[in-house]
Amino acid sequence: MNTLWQIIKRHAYIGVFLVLMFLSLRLFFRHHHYQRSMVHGLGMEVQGSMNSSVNRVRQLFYLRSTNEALQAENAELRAMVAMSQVPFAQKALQGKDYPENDSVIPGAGRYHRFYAYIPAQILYNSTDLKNNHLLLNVGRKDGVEPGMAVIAPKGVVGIVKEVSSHFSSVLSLLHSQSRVSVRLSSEAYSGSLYWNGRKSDMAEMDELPSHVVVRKGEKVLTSGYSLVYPPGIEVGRVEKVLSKPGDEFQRLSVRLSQDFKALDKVYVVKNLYDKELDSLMTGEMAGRTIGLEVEETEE
Amino acid sequence: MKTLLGKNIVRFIFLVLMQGLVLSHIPLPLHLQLFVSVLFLLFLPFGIQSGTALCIGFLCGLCVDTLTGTWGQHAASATVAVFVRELYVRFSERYGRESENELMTPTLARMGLSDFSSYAAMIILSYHIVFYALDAFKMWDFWTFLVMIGSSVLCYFCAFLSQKWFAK
Repeated sequence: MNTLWQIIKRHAYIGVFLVLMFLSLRLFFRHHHYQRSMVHGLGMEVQGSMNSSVNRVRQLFYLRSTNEALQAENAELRAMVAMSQVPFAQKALQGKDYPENDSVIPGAGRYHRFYAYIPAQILYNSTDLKNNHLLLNVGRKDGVEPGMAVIAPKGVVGIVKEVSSHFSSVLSLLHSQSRVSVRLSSEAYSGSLYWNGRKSDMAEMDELPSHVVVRKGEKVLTSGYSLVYPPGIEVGRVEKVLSKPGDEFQRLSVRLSQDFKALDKVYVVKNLYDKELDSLMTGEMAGRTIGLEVEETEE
Repeated sequence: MKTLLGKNIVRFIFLVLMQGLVLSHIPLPLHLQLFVSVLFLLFLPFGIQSGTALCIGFLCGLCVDTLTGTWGQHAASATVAVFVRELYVRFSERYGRESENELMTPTLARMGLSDFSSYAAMIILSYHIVFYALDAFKMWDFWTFLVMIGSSVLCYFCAFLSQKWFAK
């Protein structure tokens, strides 16, 4: 016991040294910010590398549950893809000869991308008003711009009207000012689809020449003439002919294929060449109005 | 005994004030620094209790820190230097506590050239290494290393030159 005490007494100076060093270094690091930040950085580095190596071991134990979670997620994603992407795939690839957007579809040859699709979620949707609107969770930051079309898996929804950085408001098809250029699936003649303001599942098609033979239950598709909606998207089916025989144009009642009360996920359609086409169209439109005037005077 | 204590107190005050008030304000070429406070640790008598010596060294460094605003840098260096000194005292046969129990101021005249030069080199180098290591706080870059060696050599010369004043 005595010898132990002797040894401790003999080496007590090491303890004193450590205490004094601790005090002086504490003082030093409290007042020297550069050195303190270096120590902090070093500490974080050590902590980070230790954490990552510990994590690597920990992850091994969780592999099974991680795999299960990933599998469930994959199934969900697969369902989403089959449901929402396939119906648009073909339509998305119709277009003109622009090499930078070339894409090869296996078994279908070479196509050019003309439209891009931005997936969106509906935040607000009204169907019972005279003029209905929707609100989407995508905005300018997602590439949405006013004038773009919005489509749902089963049909057209409307046109983007206003855009903020994260949201956009959509003029629903169920709006008194909505007009969609449509055609019958069997005929090339196009007409205009609008909402009569009564039932949310019915719309009317107008401006169809009287000589066109209309069959009940025939599909009504987007014509693609507006360049806003991709052509060939089903809008609805002909319910009945409203106009009387002898009228200049036929007026049809169309049952919409998309249930507007059940809208959830939609796609904003971006025309990849809209600026280029716009500049062309402004010139062409001027010519067309002149042409119309000539026609009228002839009549 | 009393005179030795008095001498050391005077030495302490003189060197700390010299270091803190005069030398720290005189810029030397090539960023060299002269730490005369090391000389106090160097000439601290052998035979003082290790713990007491460490505390005295720490106090000396702390006083210089207070005057120069280096906060703990000199204190840490001085503590390490005194620790090295205590190790030297313990492991050298001639100046170990067992061999000689009385207080003795380590001077060139008493220790001899070879012993004193190695002893001074050890203390001065350890002090400077700790000081510059804390200052630069990274792996030795060559310039800091040169400045450290230069300052150590300067201090080493001072240790030899100041023999006359501290020899008694």
